[in-house]
Amino acid sequence: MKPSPPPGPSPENRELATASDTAAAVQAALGTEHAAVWCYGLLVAFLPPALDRLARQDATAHRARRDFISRTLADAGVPPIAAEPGYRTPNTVVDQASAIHLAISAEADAAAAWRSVLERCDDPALRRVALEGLTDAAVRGAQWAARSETAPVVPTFPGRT
Amino acid sequence: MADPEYAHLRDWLVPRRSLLFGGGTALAGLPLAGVLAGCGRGQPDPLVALTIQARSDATRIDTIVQVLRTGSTPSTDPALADALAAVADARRTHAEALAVELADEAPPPLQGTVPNAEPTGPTAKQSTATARPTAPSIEPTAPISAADTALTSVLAVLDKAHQRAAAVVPSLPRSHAALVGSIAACCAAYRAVLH
Repeated sequence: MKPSPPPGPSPENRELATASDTAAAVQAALGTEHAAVWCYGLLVAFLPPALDRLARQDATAHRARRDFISRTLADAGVPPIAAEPGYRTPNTVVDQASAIHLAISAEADAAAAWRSVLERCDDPALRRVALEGLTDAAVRGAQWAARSETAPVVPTFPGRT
Repeated sequence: MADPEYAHLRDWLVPRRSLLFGGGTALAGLPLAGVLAGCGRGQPDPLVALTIQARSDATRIDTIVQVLRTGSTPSTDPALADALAAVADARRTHAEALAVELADEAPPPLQGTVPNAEPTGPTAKQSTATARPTAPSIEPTAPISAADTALTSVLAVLDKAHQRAAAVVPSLPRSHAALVGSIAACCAAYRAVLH
């Protein structure tokens, strides 16, 4: 499935305006997956061995989704956004509690971004991708919150900001 | 890296590209049936069934919590009762949010039928035309004599709620897809942490 080159600017590109919100939402979700991979790389160093495996597993899941979305966008002729060299974290990570807090934040960001894709696409297959992204982020976020003092453990509407 | 489980997801590109660049064939890949099914014209809106189910789930879990808290079992676990009560509250809030969406789009068909819905859930089955087989249904009259039975029952309720919400997300109008997606995610997350 080779992408055909996108046509140059012309009136027929008007459709692009309609769907550009979909592409932008997917790019934003890709951005949160990049950020999550980076966050897990940082926070894993502050976790005890018992939690280390969970963090690595979650990082692997984010990496797989990031790679898939990147390839999918590229195949569509939309250049996927790249990872930033670094990210500003909402909290300083100095110990296990702050590391878990960062994991919860990263998952909340991913959940919000994938929920936003649901609001901005019609294709059933892309809806399923977005729902998986939202659900997986909610599950991981809840699992981290359950290991901390953070409440509520499960947001009633994950991804709603 | 091959992601076999994601392989089908590439399909979204085809209609997307034809929509973006295709011209005359732009409609070829659009999920017309799915879109129309979500419009509710002449068909039950899937949100109705989800609302009824969310309310009956809340009622059922309330009952389970009450039995846990007041039952004769000496090994009652207050922390478990509190955790399950939070699930009941979440399902109640889901029902309220769904009802608000329904009220925004049509005269509410739920008055008089929902508040007294029995916690059996069969009325929700009309939404499962495209659903996969769900968890075994729980007998509403099943005796709840132990904490693990209570937990198992709530996990089954959550599993079914997650499956049914997730099943309709692909075909809902955009305005409802995010809400129902969040509800599916919430049920899955509770199921994961209560497990």
